[in-house]
Amino acid sequence: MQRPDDQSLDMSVLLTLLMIFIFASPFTRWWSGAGLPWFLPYLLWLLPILLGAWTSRKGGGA
Amino acid sequence: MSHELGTLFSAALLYLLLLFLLAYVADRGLIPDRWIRHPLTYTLSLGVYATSWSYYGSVGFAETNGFQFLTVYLGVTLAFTLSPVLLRPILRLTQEYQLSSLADLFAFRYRSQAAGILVTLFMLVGTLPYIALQIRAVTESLQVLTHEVPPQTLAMGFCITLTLFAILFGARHTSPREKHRGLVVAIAFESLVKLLALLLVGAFALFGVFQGPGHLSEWLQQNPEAVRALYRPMQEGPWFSLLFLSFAAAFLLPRQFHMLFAENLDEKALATAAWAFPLFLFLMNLPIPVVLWAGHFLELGVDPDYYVLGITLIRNHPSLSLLAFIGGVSAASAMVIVTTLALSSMSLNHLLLPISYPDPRLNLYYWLLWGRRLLIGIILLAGYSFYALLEHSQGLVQLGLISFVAVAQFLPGILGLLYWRRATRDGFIAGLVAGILVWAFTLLIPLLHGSGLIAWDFDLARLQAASGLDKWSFATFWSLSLNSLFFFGISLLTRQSPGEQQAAQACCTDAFIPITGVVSAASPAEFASELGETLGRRTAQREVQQALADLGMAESEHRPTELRRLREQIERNLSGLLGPQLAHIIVSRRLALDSRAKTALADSMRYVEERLEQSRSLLDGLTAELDRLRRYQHRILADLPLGVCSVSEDLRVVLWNLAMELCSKVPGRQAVGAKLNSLPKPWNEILTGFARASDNHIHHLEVEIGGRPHWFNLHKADIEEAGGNVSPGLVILVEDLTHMEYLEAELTHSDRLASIGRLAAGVAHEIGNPLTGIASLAQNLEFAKDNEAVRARAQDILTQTRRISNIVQSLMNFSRSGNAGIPSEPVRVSEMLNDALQLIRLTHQRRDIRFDAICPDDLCTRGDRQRLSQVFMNLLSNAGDASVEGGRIDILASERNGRVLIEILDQGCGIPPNIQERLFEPFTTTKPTGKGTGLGLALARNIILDHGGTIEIDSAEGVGTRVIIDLPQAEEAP
Repeated sequence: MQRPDDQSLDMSVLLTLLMIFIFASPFTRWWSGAGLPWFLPYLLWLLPILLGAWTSRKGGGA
Repeated sequence: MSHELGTLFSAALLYLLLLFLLAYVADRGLIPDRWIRHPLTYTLSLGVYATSWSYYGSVGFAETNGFQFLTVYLGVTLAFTLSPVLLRPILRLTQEYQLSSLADLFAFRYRSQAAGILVTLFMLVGTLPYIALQIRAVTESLQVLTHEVPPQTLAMGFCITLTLFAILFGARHTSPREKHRGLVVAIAFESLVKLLALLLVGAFALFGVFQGPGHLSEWLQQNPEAVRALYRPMQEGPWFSLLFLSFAAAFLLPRQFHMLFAENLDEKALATAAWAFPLFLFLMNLPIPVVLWAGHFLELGVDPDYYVLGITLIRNHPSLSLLAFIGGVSAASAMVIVTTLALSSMSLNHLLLPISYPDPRLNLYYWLLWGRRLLIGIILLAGYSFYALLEHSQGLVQLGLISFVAVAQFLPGILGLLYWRRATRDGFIAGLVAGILVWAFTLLIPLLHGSGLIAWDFDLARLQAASGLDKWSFATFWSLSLNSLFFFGISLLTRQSPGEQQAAQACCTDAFIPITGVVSAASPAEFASELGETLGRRTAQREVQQALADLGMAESEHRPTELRRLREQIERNLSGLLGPQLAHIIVSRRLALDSRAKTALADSMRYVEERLEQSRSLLDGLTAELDRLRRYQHRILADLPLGVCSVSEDLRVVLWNLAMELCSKVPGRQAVGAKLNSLPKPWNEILTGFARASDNHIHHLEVEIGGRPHWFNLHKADIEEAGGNVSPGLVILVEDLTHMEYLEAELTHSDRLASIGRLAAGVAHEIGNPLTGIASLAQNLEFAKDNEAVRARAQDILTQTRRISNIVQSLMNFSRSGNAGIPSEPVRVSEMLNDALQLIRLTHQRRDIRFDAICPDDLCTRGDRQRLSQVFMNLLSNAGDASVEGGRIDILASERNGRVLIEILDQGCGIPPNIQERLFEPFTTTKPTGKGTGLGLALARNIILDHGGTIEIDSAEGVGTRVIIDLPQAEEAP
């Protein structure tokens, strides 16, 4: 069984990679030029926040 | 619509007074502690990140750079997502070593006062534009709301009020050990106010300006360029650079570092803040596009930086615009207060103290407190001067980003601090200087040139254009590239000092730092005396007392291990007071380590074990297995039923197991680390003598402990030097024979009693036969009626033979004892007592002795009623004999835990102590010769033991005697 420290580290790395993929990769250029609704960046931002809250409540938070 | 300047000034003043009140009640403990420590309070206090730049400037930034305004918060989200690997290690370091600022952290890691000074100076220069930005935002917001230029004195008044607040609630204590709860609560409240104000303005823009989401959607369809203008800059602008800069700013800005680490009350709150703080920023930014579009829709004639205020003026909502203004004041004041506090702490530790260390005769605490307060005033004055001198052509965001690039220069250093042990002081300083120079060249000098403060005719724009980068990416890329290059390059070329190596290991959580050296000062009193030379006598005493209290140590402590720990604790506490470098210098000089003294093995063992306990959760794979093995072996030694004591070469105790504690009555905590000759008596002499003796074994050593004799076997073996860190020493095994000795004595005693029993049976048998003959003859003589003298003699003979017969009968009874043949029927205790009492009352009738018995009718035991009655007869008879005329004897019988408890209490003469020890031995009596055989109690004890019970006697001479009988309980007799 994984220790809480390991779990929080895993989730932290996973969420960071997700954020980098969404906001700091060529994918960012793609979605920002796709003519999507104005609130899309907010939805994309909310995703890692909610995932972070969920993992924290599960006991794997920072 | 416009507001009166006086109204706005009064509103701002009232708001700041409310903050004062809130901070005051929190400091006074009138707000429940659980609210102050709540993760939500901590999260909101981190909202100090959102300054007037976020509050006002985001809309202006969105106007010019579209969605790039979000990068300032997305970078923070990224940093907080990485909190287990980035923020938590820093938090632990700052808490463990009492480091209150970034300059402290760097000075501690790189063991360099120069690093602390450089960081502080750069932080001061880099942050002044940011403070100026806040003052400007407040004055410009007044201008927007009043349509008139506010006087300079207003900005000055704002600065003075914030100085007072910072002094009163941020500089109350001299040590970061005591957190500023009032400040935390006030800053959290400010975050709440600005969030609510911005959300209300956003709601007003959506429903008051656009009449709801439907209308906004329609407007956006008619103006598709509005959304495209937000997305377009993402394709071409400095998106990645800004993301990176805000990532660094999230924890390196002085105000962020202060609230995140220095004012943190509970490490667990960081776990909640990791997602809750990004959520706070998300909510702060949600209304920005709507407010921007509302400004466009209304065709406001104000700078987009102040659309937040502008839209509230159009529709005549004075209360909303007032609230929006207060939100802006809130954002600006929180930033200025916390930044000033953080900078004052840095300046005190790294500028003021190294330059002018106070005279030891002065009260150091007051000096530090007032020094800090003075620095707060100076920093705010410098911020105000910067604001007054600057040309106000730069946008709010421009000023903020200059500070962001400045603090990003600390990123290589902080990553090296956490993850690269090879990083050196020279590398850090060289990298930072390179970064600072590029930052000044690309951002600061153009800013000062733009404000007309300096002449500068270098064409930087051409250089930027040639590189194909925008202004921010250009400055960020080159400053950080050169910074990192110098940092890593010079670090690889230079070597660390021993102190730096130790600090580098301390910064890496899983590193092990072996303890070396012994403190020259031999007691806490000597510590205080030595430190008093530098700190002043009172301060030194207070610091030593504080460190003793932190460690739970006694003032009489003298063990080198503990004194070494005390030294470390004092250095940590002083680090919170004077900064890590100065604390290190003072402690190194005043509490020098004796490098010639060999580090005791006990010191190392305890230290290694403590570190292993702390890092247990970090162990994995083979190390975890080794740790389990270590624990198992430790358990074996600890639980071994033999006393184990291992000593180092200098006869200092390294190990003292549980059995050793039990047999010596010396706790391990006291023994470990102490020299053998300083252990309590008699162990100091025994163990020191044995350790020095040539014999490896001592058998059956008699030692008196607690007034009673104890017996031990001692064995010892040499621990040979095994190379590495294993030092030679001795292991001593102590085998406690005392219990065995007592068992043997009891066995011998029982054997003796059995022999007496057998002898008694033989004697009784042999005496019985002639005695019967003598008695028969004497009875015949009694019938010789003619001779009165013969008859009288015959009567005497019969009396004596009856007495001999009684003795013989007693001897026969005693020798027959044994549980064979004892009936196991239930017997009512009350009936047995009544039998005994009837007979006893008859014999003691003349002496008027009162017998009171309390016994439940249904209380039963199992056994021979007649023999048990005999016991009570004997005991009551003894009690009666011991009592004076008219005395009272109480018999109490009761049930307790499934046993029958019978107590017989008299108020007689008691039993002398010398007789008490052998009371149950045959022929022991206190009665005059001829009055008792001395077999009654021995017989009673045998009968009780045969019935599975116990008998005890508790007696005090002149007070009385209590006999306690314990027998098994049985079901109620039929």
